[in-house]
Amino acid sequence: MFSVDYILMQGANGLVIGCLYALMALGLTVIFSVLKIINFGHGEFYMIGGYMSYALATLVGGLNPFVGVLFAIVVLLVVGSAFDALFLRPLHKGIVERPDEYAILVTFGLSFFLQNLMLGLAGPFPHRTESFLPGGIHVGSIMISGDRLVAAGVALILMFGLLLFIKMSWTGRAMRAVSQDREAASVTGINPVRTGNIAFSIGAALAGASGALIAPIFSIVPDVGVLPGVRSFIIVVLGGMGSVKGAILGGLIIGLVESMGAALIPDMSRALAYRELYGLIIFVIVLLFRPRGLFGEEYS
Amino acid sequence: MKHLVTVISIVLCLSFFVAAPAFAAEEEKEPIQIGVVLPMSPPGGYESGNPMWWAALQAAAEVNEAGGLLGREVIAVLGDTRGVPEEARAVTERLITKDKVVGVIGNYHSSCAKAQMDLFKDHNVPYIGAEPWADEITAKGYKQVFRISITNSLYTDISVNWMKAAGFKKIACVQEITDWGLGVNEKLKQAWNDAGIENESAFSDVKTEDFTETLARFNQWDPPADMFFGSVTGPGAFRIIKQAYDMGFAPTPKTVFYATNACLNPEVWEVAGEAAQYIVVTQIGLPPSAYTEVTKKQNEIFEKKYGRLMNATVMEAYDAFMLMCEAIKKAGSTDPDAIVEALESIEWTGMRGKYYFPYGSKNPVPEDQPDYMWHQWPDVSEYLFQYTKVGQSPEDGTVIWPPKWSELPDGQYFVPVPKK
Repeated sequence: MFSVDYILMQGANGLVIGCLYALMALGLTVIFSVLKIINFGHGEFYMIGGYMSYALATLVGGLNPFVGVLFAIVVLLVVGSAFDALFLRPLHKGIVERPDEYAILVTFGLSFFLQNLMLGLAGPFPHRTESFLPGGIHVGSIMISGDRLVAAGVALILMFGLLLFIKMSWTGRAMRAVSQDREAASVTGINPVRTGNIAFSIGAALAGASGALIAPIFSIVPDVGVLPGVRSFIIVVLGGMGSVKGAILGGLIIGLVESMGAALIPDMSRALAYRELYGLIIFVIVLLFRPRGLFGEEYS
Repeated sequence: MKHLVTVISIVLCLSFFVAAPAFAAEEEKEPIQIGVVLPMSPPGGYESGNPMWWAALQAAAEVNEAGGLLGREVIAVLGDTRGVPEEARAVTERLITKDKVVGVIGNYHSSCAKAQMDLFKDHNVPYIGAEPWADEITAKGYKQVFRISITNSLYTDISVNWMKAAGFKKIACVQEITDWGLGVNEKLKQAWNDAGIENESAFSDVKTEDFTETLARFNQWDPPADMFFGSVTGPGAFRIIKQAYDMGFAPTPKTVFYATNACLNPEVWEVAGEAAQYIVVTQIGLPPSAYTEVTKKQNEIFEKKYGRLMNATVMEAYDAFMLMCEAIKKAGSTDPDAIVEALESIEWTGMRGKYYFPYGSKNPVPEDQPDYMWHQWPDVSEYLFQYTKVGQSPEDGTVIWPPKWSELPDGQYFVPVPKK
């Protein structure tokens, strides 16, 4: 019924889009692993990233779209750091009576605020940034959109860069230490508040980078981050809360499953409608047999 | 002392009688509030709701500049439905019970209008539907509910007549899952089947970002589809055009791309770029050649203020608001029964033509007419045009249907030049 080329093309498309899912989920997992909070405004950082790239391209005509991605990363590093310093510091200092509820409320508030802020500033109409690489790229007998291929390539580079940063740099090691034991880390001279701030900034920047990379592909509107935000939670839980490699693998799995489901489910009338459901089915199956996710640590 | 108390009481009573008419006059001068229910913020249809709200404000400003209504200022009071039925119901309840609006206009989503209808009936508040298409909205026969937008059935008739005239034999469709989408797809499938047109529909969520797998499935068809119907609203309407074009599926010399009226917004060029050239778009309104004086004047004011022309959806909001004001003026009061009576006998020319409602309490819908004709404006026009140049305005597109306005003969359309 389906040709091999068709199946390969859908598989490749799923993996390519999965790289972008993984990049965004990685941001969420970095925040969770160090700060132990779930950022419900993560999808809005993704949206802001797209708008920042668009804003720069609009202000400076004829700009290379990669500069827009870099700009989005820088802006989100600043926004993430400022948000953490202004609203999450009471959490780190232990002066909030119910820290978990506080974190949920404050990040939910951030989500609503940013959506409505951008609706006011950028207006209700969709926008798109310039293509990275217009048209399609033929890899053997299959064809993939140039924009998607470039975006996935940049996402892979950023993920690899982050892994190196976490493994090799002093700050990366400090982040790992704080994620393992906050008090023990502070005994060794690490400032957990500052490390948390860096982690939150990096997490926000990764979401912003995903948004800027996806802006030429899907276009941007004020609520463009809602679905990717929810999808990131699913990926993070699937991969194991706080696991970097789990977020990467989870992103690729969800991308592949969504794509192959929509492409191969025999009932075509429903195949696309249930696109998000395929990932959820895998998510439920994994959690049934492995409640801590693919690479999550077991809680005692 | 007793005498003094009596004198004071008499003075107080007299002062009340002297002051009462003044208070009453003050009350008379209170503004007339008209509710406008639209999606203004995420998640639903805010890219359409916002310009519709601007149009309602423009209408209110025009009425006030002309001296107001019954000597009183008119205020448009916004109810943000967010495109969510339960929120639509809640804001409407607030408009009716707290803001004391004398009438309500608007809606972009049929699901929201359906959720509000019982409130209009129970509170006896006149309502004019600006853009909800579901047949049931007027088919229920509520005394307070009027509609100036098209219905799913009317839309299907006009569109499918073109498809038949153009000679399409095989149609692929992606249809968004909303009250509007499911309703219109049911009618379309029926009409396609009746016309002997082979068809297949794939349903998508309104928030779908990626249509590539489904488009690739359609692209495998041999022989290919004659027409692809991207029946999606919101940002998805633009994304699906770009994705279909990048894949080499549509618009191509073999496959026509038929898009929804979301593609009337100029942002279609920013998001879809050259992919939108040669798409066929529905406009639920008059073509530029048939514009009324009101259309030209109001479009000019709107463009000056907001930097964009009104599309038919936006015109509907202006017309609905003005129609409510005209009905209040005709009724000479804000009494709901008087407004309903005035609407039933109204004749007023707005941006999209001359409005009237032939079927109502004095002239029930006859047997040979569908139920949805109750309080339905019957002359709502729809035309199809094709963008023939990149960056073109809908007003400059080539009208291809219906024959009375078409610039091309017999359902013909432009075929794109093959991509190199």
